[in-house]
Amino acid sequence: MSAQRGRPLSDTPRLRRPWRVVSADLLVVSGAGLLIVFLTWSAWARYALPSDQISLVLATTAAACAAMGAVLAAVVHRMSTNRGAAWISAALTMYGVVVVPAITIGTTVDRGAPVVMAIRFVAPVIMITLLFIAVWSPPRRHAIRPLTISLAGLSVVVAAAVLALVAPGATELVTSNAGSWIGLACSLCLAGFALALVSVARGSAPLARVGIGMAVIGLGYAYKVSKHAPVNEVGLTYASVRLLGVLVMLVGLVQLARVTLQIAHEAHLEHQEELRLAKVGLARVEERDHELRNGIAGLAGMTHLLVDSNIDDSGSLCVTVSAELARLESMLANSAENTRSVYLTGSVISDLTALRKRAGMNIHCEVEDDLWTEGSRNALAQVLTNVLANCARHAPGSPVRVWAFRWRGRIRICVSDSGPGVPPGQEDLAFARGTRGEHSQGQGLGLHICRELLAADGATIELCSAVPTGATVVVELPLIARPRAHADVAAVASAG
Amino acid sequence: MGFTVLIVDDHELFSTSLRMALRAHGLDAHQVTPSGFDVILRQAEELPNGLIVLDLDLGKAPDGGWLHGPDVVTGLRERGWKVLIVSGSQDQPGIAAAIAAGAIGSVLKTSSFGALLETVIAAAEGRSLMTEAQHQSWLALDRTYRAKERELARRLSRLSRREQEVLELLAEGHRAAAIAEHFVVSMTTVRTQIRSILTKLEVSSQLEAVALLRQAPDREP
Repeated sequence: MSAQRGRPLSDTPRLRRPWRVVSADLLVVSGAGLLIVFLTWSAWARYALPSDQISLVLATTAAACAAMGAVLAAVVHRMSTNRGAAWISAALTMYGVVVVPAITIGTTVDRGAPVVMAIRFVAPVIMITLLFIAVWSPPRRHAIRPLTISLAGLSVVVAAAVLALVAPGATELVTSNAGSWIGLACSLCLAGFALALVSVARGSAPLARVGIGMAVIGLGYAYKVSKHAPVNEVGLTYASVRLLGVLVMLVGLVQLARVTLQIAHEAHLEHQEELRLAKVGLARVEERDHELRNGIAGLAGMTHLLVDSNIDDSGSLCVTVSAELARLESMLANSAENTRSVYLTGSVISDLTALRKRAGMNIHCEVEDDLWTEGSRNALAQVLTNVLANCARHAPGSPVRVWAFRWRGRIRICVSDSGPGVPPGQEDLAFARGTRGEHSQGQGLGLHICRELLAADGATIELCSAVPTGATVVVELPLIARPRAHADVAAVASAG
Repeated sequence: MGFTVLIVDDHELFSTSLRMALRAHGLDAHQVTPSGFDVILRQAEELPNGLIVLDLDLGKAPDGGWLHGPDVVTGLRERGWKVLIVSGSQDQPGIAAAIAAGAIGSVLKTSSFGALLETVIAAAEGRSLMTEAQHQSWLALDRTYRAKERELARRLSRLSRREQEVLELLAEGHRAAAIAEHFVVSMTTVRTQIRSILTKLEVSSQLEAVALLRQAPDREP
């Protein structure tokens, strides 16, 4: 995307500074947290609301949102190289599928059952471990699937439950200790804040939101375990704060998924464009192949004729064959790398005329000094070769005059012969493909190709009838100032 | 003088060599530079009826359009000429259309010149170049290609004028950013237009859209 002057790119995501986003988030989230605490502690909420039922509804919503977040994180992981997302997805699965139900179940079954207590303790431990791994994001040689991690975590939970059944005493030892629950809550906070900090450092505001959400959940949990005993009911404040944390996390993951999708979409469009350009290039090559095949068929035909000894016109056949070869060559030159450069027009002209003179053409050339131009030297050489070949064919033996000079701020190269010329009014027709003189033997040797070759450099070619006879081809090229490097060399040369 | 053969090909080296070779075999061979269908038909009217050796792709007309060999076959048949198709490449739809329009057969330029010469002479002598079964299969192919072309034209006609322009630019190999620049619109607008083009053409990628446009009739091959 080279030139997008003046217009903003509306479709590229604007990068805001993550720490600013995150501090605003922190403000909003702590405000919402305080509001929740204030509301749920008010006398109205304590006595007028059916706290248990509302807590259940909030728990269900939190579990569902955590599951949604897990799916989004898994999608992000699959669509990008974000390694942390796989671990976050597994942690959220653990949270939505095991942790929230295990905490909520305390209100309906036997409160102190060792199996429930073991699950309630082990599931958050696994979740926190997964979060720390997400913060660390270890590079792995093999792709790891969120589902595999989740299943591994679940099997650890099942193992813990079995252990609690077998040895309830040992489980009791851990779960009856208030310190282990506080430690759990603090670890969750720590994991959340670590994720937020690392994400800010890596410049990812959405992932920082996930971290903040986790930390909020951790704070809520810390409040719960310090206020109520862990076996007690959920509590409206905890349920609300937990939902707040899960929602903040979900917002972050939705954003992350959106950005990931946007990037994937951009990449998709770019690939589409590259594929299309390749296709267009291929089609051009096919067109050229078609032309080359036609040329080869013609050359094969000519060879067939030349082998036949009863053709007496072999001289003119040779001219036609060489003209066709020049055409095929120029076609290939057109497609090959035609590098632009700054060059002296005069050097190209004198090289070519010298070549023609040696081949026996009566050619005279006058070139002004310092006719610098910019473009493809090869293209000009091809064009002049074609023009001179035309002179040789249409006006054999006639003197050819080439002169190059400044003309209205451009370079003008005129090539004239004194052959039959072109009928007036048909000058432009000569540039149609395959046009040739009525009595000419030869190929209408692509004056249109010359025009196309020159057009790329901002140059033109015209065919004029000369007075009294003959044809003049006028090539005009852009004139540029003498390049500095050459000016210095010239100055040194003249000084020395 | 022998049987009349008129060679219609925009590649003059080819037509010149074929004309000279046919003359060497005693045929009354002529060549014409196809700068338009009227030129071909006029030339055909001036000569005694015989065999036309017609190139499939006759290049650009002076008015800028493309001359497709098959389009002139019917006119030549009406004037009593037999038509033999030569082509530089295996352009199946073009050959099928020409045979459906009444051409007696086709021959590839890429086969050896001797073989090509033999086929032309065989056609001039009135020998049949293909069996009835081959003829029928060409006709069936032509029907399939025509159905495809109609379907293509139907889809292309759904495009708005601007969408057609965008598609043309895409097919010429311009980047979406360059097209946005060209029409002085945002990249988003061009992307929306491209998406709409893909939907209307019932394709899933820009590559297919461009390929589709290139297959459409009345375009350069």
